[in-house]
Amino acid sequence: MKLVTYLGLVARRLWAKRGILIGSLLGSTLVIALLVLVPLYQDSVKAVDLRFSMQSALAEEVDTTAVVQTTSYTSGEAVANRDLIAGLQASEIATWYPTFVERVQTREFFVIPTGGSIDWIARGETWKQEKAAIELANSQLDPTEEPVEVPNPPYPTPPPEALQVRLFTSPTLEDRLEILDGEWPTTLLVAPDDDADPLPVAIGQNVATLAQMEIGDQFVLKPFSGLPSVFELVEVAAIVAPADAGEKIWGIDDPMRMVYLPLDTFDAWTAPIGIAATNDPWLRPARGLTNLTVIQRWIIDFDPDALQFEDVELIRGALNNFRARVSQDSGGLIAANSSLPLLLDEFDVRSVTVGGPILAILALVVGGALYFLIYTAALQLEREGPEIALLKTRGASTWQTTGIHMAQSAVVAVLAAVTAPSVARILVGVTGRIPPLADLTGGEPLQVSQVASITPYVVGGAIVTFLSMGLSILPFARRPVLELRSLAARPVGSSVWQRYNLDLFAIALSIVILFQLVQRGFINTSGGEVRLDALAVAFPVLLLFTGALVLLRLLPLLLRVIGWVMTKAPGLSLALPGWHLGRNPVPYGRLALLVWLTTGLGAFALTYAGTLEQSFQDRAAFVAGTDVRIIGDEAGYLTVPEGDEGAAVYRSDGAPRQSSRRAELLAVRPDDFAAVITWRSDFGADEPSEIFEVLRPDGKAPDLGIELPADATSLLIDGVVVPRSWRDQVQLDANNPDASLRLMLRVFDGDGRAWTMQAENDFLDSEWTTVEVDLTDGRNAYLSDPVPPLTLHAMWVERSNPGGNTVLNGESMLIRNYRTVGDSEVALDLGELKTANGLAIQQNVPAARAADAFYSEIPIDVEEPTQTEVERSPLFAEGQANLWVGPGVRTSLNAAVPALRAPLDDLYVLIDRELAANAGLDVGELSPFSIGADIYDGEVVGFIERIPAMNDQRREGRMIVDLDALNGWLNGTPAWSFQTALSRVAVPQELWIKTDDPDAAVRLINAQFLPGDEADDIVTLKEAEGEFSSRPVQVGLVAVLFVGAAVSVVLALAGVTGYVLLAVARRAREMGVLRALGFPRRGVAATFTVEQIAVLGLGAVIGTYGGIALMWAMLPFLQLGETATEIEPPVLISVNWGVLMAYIGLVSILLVLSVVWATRRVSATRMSEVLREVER
Amino acid sequence: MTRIIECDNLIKIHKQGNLEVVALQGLDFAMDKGEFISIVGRSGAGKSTLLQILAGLETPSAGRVEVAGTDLTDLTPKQRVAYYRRGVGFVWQDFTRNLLPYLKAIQNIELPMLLAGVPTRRRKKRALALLEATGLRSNAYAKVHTLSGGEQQRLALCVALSLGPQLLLADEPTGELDTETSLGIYDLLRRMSHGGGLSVLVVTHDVALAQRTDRVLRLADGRMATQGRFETQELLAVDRRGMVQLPRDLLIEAGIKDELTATLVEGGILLEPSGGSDGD
Repeated sequence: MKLVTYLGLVARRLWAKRGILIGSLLGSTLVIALLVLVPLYQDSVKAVDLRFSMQSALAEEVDTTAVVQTTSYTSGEAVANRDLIAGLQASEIATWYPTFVERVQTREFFVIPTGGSIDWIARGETWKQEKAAIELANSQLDPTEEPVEVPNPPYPTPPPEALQVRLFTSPTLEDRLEILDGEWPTTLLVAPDDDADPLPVAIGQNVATLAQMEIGDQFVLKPFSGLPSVFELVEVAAIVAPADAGEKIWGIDDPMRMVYLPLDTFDAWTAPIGIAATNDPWLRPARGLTNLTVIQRWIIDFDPDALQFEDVELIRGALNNFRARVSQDSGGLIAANSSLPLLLDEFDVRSVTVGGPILAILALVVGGALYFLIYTAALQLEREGPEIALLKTRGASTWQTTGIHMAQSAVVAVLAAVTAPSVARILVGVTGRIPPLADLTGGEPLQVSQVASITPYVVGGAIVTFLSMGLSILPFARRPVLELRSLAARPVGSSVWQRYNLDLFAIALSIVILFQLVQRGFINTSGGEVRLDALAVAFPVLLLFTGALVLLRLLPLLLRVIGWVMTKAPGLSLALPGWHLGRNPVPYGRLALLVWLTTGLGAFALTYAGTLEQSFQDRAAFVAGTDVRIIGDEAGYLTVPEGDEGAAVYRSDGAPRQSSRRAELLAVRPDDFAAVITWRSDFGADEPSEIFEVLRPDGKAPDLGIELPADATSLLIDGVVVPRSWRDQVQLDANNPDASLRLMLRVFDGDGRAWTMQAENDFLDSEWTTVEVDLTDGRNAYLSDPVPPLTLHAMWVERSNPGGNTVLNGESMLIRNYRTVGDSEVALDLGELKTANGLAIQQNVPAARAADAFYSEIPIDVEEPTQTEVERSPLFAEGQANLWVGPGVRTSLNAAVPALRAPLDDLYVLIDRELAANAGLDVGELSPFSIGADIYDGEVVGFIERIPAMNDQRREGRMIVDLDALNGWLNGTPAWSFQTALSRVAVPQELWIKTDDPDAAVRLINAQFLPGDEADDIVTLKEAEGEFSSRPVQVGLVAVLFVGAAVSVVLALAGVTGYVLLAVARRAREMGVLRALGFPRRGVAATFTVEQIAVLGLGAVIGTYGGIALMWAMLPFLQLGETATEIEPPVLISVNWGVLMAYIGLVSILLVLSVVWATRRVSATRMSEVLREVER
Repeated sequence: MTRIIECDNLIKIHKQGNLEVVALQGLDFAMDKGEFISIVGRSGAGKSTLLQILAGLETPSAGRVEVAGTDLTDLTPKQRVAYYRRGVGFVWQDFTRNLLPYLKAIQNIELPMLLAGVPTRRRKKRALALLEATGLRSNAYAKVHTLSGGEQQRLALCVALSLGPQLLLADEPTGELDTETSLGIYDLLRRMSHGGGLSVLVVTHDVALAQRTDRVLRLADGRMATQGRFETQELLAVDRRGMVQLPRDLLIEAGIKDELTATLVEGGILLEPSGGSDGD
């Protein structure tokens, strides 16, 4: 009964103080709602992130595949495998993987044409007849006579240029192909009526084009490896194209280059099909493509919409079961794989690394809301001082006083706990409408996902709010009655924090935690699992409060100073508030603290959002390197759109001193590169142009050889291979054909491209010839012709009719009259070129030496020629020439080509400090550098720190060299190339473009690639930015930051209004006195307003800088990217002062309005009431 | 008669910043059970301080004070609560300090009993009796703010008396009331004192009202100046050492300056200026 009466008392108190308690209820609801928001919001944002990740993932990242490869394919096994996969798919993973496709495919087959120049069937038939004839003849032989050996059957063999295809089938094959010509082949399970008739097949359109086949044409299909007798004569029944080339069933294969069989036919014909051997041109007893390597593969389609956030663990387990059972039930034959778990792991890591700051910020908001609760509870208690005093004088014990207040707090907390989950759900939903998330949700409310129970959060929140409101009674309940009575008029002096030095304790604790966090990191990645450090979440809020507590000590001093300054003002409206501030600054300190906490929270949230956004841009810029980066074959040599700036970049790896640690290497042209690269001031000590210019100390491109006239279209040289003697030639004629040597050039064009050019005719050992090299074309398959001016870098000769691998056989050559032909003929001086790899040159040798050599020995039966006859010989020439002396036998395997080439300077290398330190190098030091597969001498000319687009995690260190200089080294070395395929020269694979119109630049560049070819990759700054900032968890983080800022404003408004209302009530007497003394109403209100605004202003200024300082403390959180690895480039604090000032301005306006509203009582009070206050 | 209050050499020093203000300077005072006493004096004389000490709200800096056998100089929190519940009742000048505005009249009276653990039925009975006694029966379930000032103060009396204290302390109980209402309150107090054996100590500025009490004590400079009922015949306190402090006005009126002559006469002591009368 007593309890009921107590509760009745509490209820009456609650009802009587409903106005104030509604504030407490709102605050409590907010705190609990924010706590509940943590799991709800995180789960909801994660759910969006998951959906986004799944939908934007490539098929191969999410699909599950099962594959079996066999060399004993049978229809029975194939069906069993099919049933096994279908069964397990249905039982284990059908929820997320509802459908699958199956493809059955072989390894390569040769397409062997028949019926044309080589009619294999006719050959077979002929052989069959020959065999029969031989066997008949042999049967008629006398036993003493040796029987004639029957030749091997002429099984079809592929020509060197044979087209390679694969056999392909599937249970759903016909639906996936479009028949362009002919009819779909009929299923054929046994041999045709005539055993030798071809097997009908469908062929891809490209097969038809490349092999020049039409409907009805026949050809032989022969496996790449296998017995010679295994092949099949087929006939083109249909020419097909894929109905949808993008379908998963095609995988990475080209469906246009397949040979198709209906599944049943395939199953039947991969087993022996018995025939009458006599019907077969090669007398085989069976047909069929036996012992093939067949790959049966199932692609099980992932349905991204089917995966709910709650299913993440479920699907992991299901996939594991599926894989295990596939392996187990197939006896280990079928392997099932899925990359989805990897994607889910990435998702988990991202959730932790990005969720961490969300938690920390929510903790901050909760902390701010709690402070608001405690603050308002304390304010309320100050107002209730007389009532507590009354209760005490009426015989209420300390516990009874406490109990009444606690019960009241409990009721508020319980009410808040009941309503908070709904509020939290609404808040979560609302965030979906906030701009950052709205882009992802389409402006719809964010769908609330819930995995973990929210009950602990509700209960925890209720307890925290109950304690926050209830505990403040404890110090009050113990106070003497008289002190309690005066509380409303005279607030307490120093805070409990100061009295017990809790602020100092908080500072010490913050320092210890900060030290701990710095030591072990904000995210715990030990054991391969990424976990969030709970301290990291709590640290920001602890730091904010520590700062606040310290300020609680310092603010009164500051306010005293401000008050003193204000008292010096001439007007009373400033002097009076100043006097007040100076006299009792402690309570004002608490008000300023509230404002500092709330504006600090807002400033922090905005700075965090700004920093995050800037970091996204920085990271995007770092990844992209410039506005547009085109990567592809010869991309560096493509033409940059007019008005844009471009730079060719060659990317490779390298290392100083042949270190085993390979560094990432870029080769660039300094000026071009510096003009296009995105740069941030902390990437290096200087501007990019200053950093890279040391690669070309004299500002000029490296000298790669002899520059040919710009108009030169061909190069002419007279020469003759010094022949063997006439007699030797006659004797060795059969096995030693004429030595004819082809002149080869290595030339760099105006774009820096290295060209291998060859003469159109050869140097002969039978006569002097003028060889001509067409300078407008080269052997390299570049996208465009050579661009003048050309630079002749190297020159060498190769045998044009090599015997075996021999490309040079110790020949000597007489050579003279180097000249170019263009508008005019220009003689060339090759003095700049030096001999290399054993080539020797004798200058000014008589040109007649070739004829002399030929006639030095004449065949025995030939008459000695006269001098006139010698001079008439085509080998004879007057004057002098240079004698090239080859070093002896050289084969194509010998990489060192005897040549005449321009010497190259040492490479200038920029290197990062860590790599330099590891290699013991400093600026100015020389060292061999291995670049790609070769080693060059180089000199360290400077250090680099961070270079955008150089972030290859597999490499250790970074190096930059001059593109043209490296080009000389990489591409200047002659390689035997006349007979063999031209070895690929290294070309810059990247083109960096600085442009205002990236889309146009991409379009114009793409158009330069050959038809059917395209860029391997196109990286644009815009897309990179979008990729970074569109991650739902990142977006969710920004959204919660804005929510945090908004909540802070609400808290500040509510707190300030409450405080000012209390202050007005507290100082009613003082205001009454002022009015009674003749102070006008507005004057009193102005006095009061000025006083509050001075305090609020101080709080706002400190809060703004405090928020930025807090951001600084939180930077380590941001330094860890979505994958829990350090972000490149590091995150820098970015304060958007415009937004921040707008926010502070808005808060200030709202606060001033709330102060003015709260002080309206001062000006609205009638004089009679004022005088009554004075009388009291 | 049994003493309800005994103050012996009571000293109270208030500290206000660096200043020390002596509110009571060795005050000696006693009150018998059932007495109805008023204390008068100028502002700063120490009236409120004395009342607060007697109410157990302040502790004296020195001296001894006992109320109904309870030594108030060194109360534990528990003893203090017990003292509030059973020893003393308070009525303050400001209505709002006497009553909880959100409770009805009867609930206000029941509150102290509720806090003291009095059973519901007894509480109600006692509350109604008090309301009956103070003429507020019809207002039992009225809200506080609907009552007039006099009614509120009478209700405050009921609240103060709800637990049946031996001593009622009232600080300017009629300070905000008109004369007629004030007289009604004083009559009520007198009835309770003389009829119910309640000791009542009232602090007031109003001499006319003070004269309606059994004894008027005048406090000046933290000491008891005079005791009595009438202005021409002051009641003076005699301390344990036999010292009497004569009011300054009386000395001037009597022409007493530095010395006086005390003559034992029938029924009393005659005090005259030293060297006889100046002539009047």
